[in-house]
Amino acid sequence: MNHHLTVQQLSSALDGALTGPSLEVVVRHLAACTDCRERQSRLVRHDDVLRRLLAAETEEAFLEALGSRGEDIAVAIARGVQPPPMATTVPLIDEEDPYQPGEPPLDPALGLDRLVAQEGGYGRIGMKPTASTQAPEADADEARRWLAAAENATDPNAFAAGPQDPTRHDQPEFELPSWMDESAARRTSASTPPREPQRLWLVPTPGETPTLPFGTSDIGDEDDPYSHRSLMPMSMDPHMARRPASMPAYPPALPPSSYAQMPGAYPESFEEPMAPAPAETGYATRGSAIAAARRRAQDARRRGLQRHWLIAGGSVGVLLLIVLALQLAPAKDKSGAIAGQGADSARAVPGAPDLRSASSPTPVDEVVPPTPRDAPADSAGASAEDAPEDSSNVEPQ
Amino acid sequence: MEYTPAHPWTEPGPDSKLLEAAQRGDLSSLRQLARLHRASLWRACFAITRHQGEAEILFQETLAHATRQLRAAPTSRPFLPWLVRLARQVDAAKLRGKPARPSVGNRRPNGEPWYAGSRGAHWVEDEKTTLHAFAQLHADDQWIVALRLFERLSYQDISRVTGLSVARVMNRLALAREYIERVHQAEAA
Repeated sequence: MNHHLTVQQLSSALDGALTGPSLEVVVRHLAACTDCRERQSRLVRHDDVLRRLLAAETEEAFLEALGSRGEDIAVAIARGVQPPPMATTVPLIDEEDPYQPGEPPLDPALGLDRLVAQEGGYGRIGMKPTASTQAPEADADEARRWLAAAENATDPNAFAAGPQDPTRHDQPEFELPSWMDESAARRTSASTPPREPQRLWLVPTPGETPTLPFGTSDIGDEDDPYSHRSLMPMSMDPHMARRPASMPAYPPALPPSSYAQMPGAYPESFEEPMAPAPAETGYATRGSAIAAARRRAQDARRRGLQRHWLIAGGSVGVLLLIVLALQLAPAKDKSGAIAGQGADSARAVPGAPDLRSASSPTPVDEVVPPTPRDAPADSAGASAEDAPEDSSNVEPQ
Repeated sequence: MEYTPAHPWTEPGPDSKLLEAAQRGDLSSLRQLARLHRASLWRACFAITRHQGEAEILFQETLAHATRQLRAAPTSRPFLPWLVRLARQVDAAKLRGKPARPSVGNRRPNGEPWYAGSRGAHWVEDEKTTLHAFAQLHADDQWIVALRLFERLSYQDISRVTGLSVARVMNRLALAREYIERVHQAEAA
């Protein structure tokens, strides 16, 4: 065969859409061509698979129930009332559990084969975990009980792991040996005060005004009421009553319903007042001492910075004065002041030593002119060259 | 009123009378109209979504939308093509801007597990490949394949339902089958 049938011919022949000569050509070719015959068999197989998967051959009961639900919705909408919610018999794609076993359970009617399969681990090997992938829901009552127990440290079972109800224990119960019971009883009978858990003091103690420990005079600039805001809790700040309107209250007050909508939230709102601090003053004093120490450290840092700025400014000022002084002095030929240059170019700088070249007469010559010497005629040959040389005879060149 | 149209896709039957009565507010006619076409609508929703749960939701949503837009339904033509076209539009609107549905889920479209049984694992793989290839087709081609394979309509009926020519229906159906075959060949390679 030089040519094969096209997919349109095969598809049309498959659907019975060919008639007459077109059908004869296809039938004759399929009888002679193995490749086209195999190709058409594959098309048939694909069609069968699609029918098996998507033909939706359902039971009449299912269709009746689904139809009733749809009709109820349609009638409710036609009446103008709220339609019933849409329901499904199977989970949606987003609701499917990916860890659900994809294999059906073994047929108990298999008999010995079933036992052999179970012994061999069939159905268990490679099975995906069956544990729930959803996190356990938070128990608000349990959390509230834990918080109450944590605040009341006198409860010996406050931090005990596990539920309070012994009947809910999953582990087997056992009795402690008698000597452990006796020592525990002796410990509890000792006069040791219960350990108070440290608490963050956020509210003033009763009867005590929330004043700053270092006095109101050290607050700082009245124009900046927030200068110390970061050092103390908001509740201790005496300026809270005078905070600007643009500053929102913190934490922002939410309606009680918002908490119920938050995941894991307690059913009660947080509008209940916090429990008052214990009556001991130690907590209040300690808290204010820490705040005072922080304030003093900040003041010291500020003063140190101010000193450094003063020193730097003074140094810069002195340098500026020196530069100005040098600029305002009478200008002279500065080039003659440099050694190695001619005396003509020498310029006397007022106040500066009179600089001269090496060939210029010394001051001694100027003050005491050299005396002329009496020299004989026959000693005309004698020249000044014979005279001992001294610097005074050196003529300037 | 008991009525079983032979070709609900092409023959209006009692649709026009029921539809007119439903448009006037007759609730019993509305129920009758929904009951008449619930099987075909269910098959169409299942072929569109390829998932039983999603198909149930689409079925109910289609009836809800059809009730709201009942006055726009044509009274001189069969009601089922209009209803199924509405189902396709509702599904397309739901998926707009969202990722497409997975071509092959963890289970079969009807919810049963992909259990090979005595047929063998290669049989399951063949089914998954075919389903995957079908999901890759264009939505219009999927609909043509569904009308041919599931509803067993002729090329002429498909042409009447979709509004395409017979030649175009034949060509689109052939190309869809060829595409599925090429996907299988690519998987086998």
